Amino acid sequence: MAGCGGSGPSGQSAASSPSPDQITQRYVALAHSYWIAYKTAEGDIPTFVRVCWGGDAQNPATVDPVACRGIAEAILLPHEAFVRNLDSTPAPAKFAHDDTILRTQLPMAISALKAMAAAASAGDRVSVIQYMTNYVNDMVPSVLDALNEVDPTVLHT
Amino acid sequence: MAIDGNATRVKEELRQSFEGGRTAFYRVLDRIDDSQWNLPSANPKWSIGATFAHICGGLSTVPLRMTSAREGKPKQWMPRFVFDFVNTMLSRKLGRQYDRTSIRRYFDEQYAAAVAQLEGVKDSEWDLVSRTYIQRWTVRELFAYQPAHIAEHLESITSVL
Repeated sequence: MAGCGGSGPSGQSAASSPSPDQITQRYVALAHSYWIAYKTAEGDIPTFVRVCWGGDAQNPATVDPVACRGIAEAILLPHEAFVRNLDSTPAPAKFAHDDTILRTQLPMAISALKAMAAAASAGDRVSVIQYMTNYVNDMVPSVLDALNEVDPTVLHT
Repeated sequence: MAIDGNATRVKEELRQSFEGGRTAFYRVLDRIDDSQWNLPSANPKWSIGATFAHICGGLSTVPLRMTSAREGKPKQWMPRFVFDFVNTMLSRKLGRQYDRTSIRRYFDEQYAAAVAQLEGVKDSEWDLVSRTYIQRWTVRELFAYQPAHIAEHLESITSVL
């Protein structure tokens, strides 16, 4: 898992001019490695939902601020690395729309996650649930749909 | 495997199932009065009105599901907890938005759109796979599910009447 989400695909010469196929390959590889890193950091979804959303009933008493903060901080890393890497990884024309969505939505999702981590640190369970809701709204369905377009080898969920 | 020679029969059976679902929907709707719209159904998530709205909402998803099948791409794929949340809250919202009279037009619109999709299915498309929200269904399963979905939720209404 080393390097997942932390850097772009390696082995490319900075001086060479990549072909359209290479541009696509790099972009897809970046998205793929990002998602693998993200899902690894996220852990199992039921736990994430329980500690950061209060379970299906969104019960503040069910929120576990310490555990939620740990997940939030863990998933921030691949999100932030991916957004940074997008700046140095041009999108092929066919993914221009998806690229725009990713560049627009992910910074919003990152902001929501940081707010959620801060609320968790403060022990503010109600705000944790609200920021988790904001995070989900930032990610679903737009980011997942975009990633499904870019990398159909993975069903992003 | 395509169903080829059976396609016409399959579509006719589905047509009849849809019509059965429509008839049942109106039969149950006509059993309640305005005062019962906001009473609880047997499903703890929803009132009777929200349940009627949920049935309509289910039909409304058919066009997107067909798009997914035809394009071979997932559409609005999401974690189950998100789907469950949106499904629950949207049905409640629609249950408040509509009443016993206005739900008829909403149902008719969604039903007509779903039937139009059914009529548009080509013989070669029955085994295409739709991946939408959290469900993976073949086209045949997608259409077979709709009347079953209607019946399932009508039961949660009739059981409390």
